Amino acid sequence: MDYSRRAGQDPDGAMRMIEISDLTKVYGNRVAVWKVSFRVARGEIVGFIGPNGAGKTTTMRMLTGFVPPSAGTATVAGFDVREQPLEVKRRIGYLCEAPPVYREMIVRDYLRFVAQIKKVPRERHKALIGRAIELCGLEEVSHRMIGHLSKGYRQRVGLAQAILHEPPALILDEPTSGLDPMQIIEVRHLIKRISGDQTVILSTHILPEATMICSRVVVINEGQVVAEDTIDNLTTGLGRIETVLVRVATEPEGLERELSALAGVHDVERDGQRAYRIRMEKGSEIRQTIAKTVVESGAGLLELSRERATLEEVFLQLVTREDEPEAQR
Amino acid sequence: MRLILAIIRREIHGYFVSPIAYTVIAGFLLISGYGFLKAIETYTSISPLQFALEQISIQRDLIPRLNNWANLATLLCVPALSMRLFSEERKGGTIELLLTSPMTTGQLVLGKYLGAFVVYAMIVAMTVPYMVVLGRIGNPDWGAVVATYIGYALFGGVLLAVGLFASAITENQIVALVITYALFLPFFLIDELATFVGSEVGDVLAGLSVSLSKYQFTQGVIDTHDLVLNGSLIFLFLFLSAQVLDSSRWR
Repeated sequence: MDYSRRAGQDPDGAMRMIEISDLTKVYGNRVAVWKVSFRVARGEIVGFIGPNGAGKTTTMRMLTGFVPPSAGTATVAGFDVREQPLEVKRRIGYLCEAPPVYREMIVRDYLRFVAQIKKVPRERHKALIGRAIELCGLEEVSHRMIGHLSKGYRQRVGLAQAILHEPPALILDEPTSGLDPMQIIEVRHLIKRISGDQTVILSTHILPEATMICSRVVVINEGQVVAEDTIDNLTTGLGRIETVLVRVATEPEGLERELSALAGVHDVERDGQRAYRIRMEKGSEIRQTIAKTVVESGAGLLELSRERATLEEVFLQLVTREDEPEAQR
Repeated sequence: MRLILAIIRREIHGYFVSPIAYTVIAGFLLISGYGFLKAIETYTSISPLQFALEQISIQRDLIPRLNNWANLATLLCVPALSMRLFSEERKGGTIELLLTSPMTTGQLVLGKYLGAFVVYAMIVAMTVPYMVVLGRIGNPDWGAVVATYIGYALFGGVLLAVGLFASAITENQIVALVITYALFLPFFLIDELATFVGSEVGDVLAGLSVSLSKYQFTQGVIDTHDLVLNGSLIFLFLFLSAQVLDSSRWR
């Protein structure tokens, strides 16, 4: 499914669902989140990515009103989390890192309890619980005790809890963490399926996941936003370095040396038989020179293509530090 | 209101699907049952002569003995009910569900408190057969019996409120248990200290005492002093619990 069409929406004006500005959280003398600002338009799926301990969970907890911010504001549908917390909480569905389930409860009873505390009118209970069970594929386990379910199912119960009252904004903190690859795929499909008109913020440190589901990502590191853009823009527009792949028919002596001697080229790497991966300064003139050099050497240019950086590469450029254990729990 | 009811129901359910409620019921009945036997034994061994000479009555000579045991049973069992109230929610992560749902912390605290209180009331109700036995062996003043149960409700009510507060400040149930005792025992023991201090200061201290054996309820007196004191303590600790949950100490 293509979600890129959503990227074009203007996050301004009436379309704005979530707005975070200068949100800051300081624990003692440790800064967990520092002046984080971003906006999410209605219907957008935004990935909130960053290494463990970057402040994703803390930011989400401030947005949901679970943790009071030290400074800054967060609004959902125009309601400030600090001024009107109940209005905000009415409009969000939140799945925290560990699914907030009571292990000793039956799935259906648990969802009924959630419906009650989310103030769903009684006459809608049955329909909404049924919908959540169906969307999350819980039909088979709806009469089983949550503590007896597998981790994947428990995660789905957590998701069912978040979407139950059809909240306009969904906040999902690492919805696929700790699941096996099959379950991860299921949960991703599920998120896409349920999102519809709902606004979704989803945190993850698994980048392919963000690439698959999200139209836009906010990259956070050490408590600060380091990038915020559509994945397309991030993977093409970032940095001064680009990589081109050159494929040739034959390999005349010294072609590799000739290429690496060109102005603007950083290094040339062989990529199997008769192919080179060239890292170079950004710019079409250099590509022209490369093409010219290859043709003049008589190698027979078969292909010259620009490689798009993967989100991983972009991410590593943005976040140079290694992962460290999550500190905010 | 429906929301508070939902929390109460879930709380009661939580007690009875785990072994907690059953263990606490067993413990409470064991201690109070033993105490009841001892009290009956002492009462029935009073000689007919004494009955004739003194004004021996169930209120005066049996109930206070029974209450000493009820004190012990309540002190040992009720904190076991309350220590899990918020600690478990914090540990299991369900506190995030509760605190991000559209309700105030006041509603949440009240719901959880009432849920635990209902379970406590159920346990205390199991001592009603004792009173039936009393009706067989003597002629108790039923008004005083009812007042005694009001005393039980207040005593356990204060202890539960203190325990709820303790469980709100830690996610470790054992720590919550210890804090409960640390906060409650001063109220329970202050009477001893008051006698020791004497004079007006002692009277003031004695006025703060929370203990079944000091209550006038057991003598059939609805004592406004104890009503106000215990009611205020319950309110204070529930209020503090809500404050703690609201405070920025959350991580």
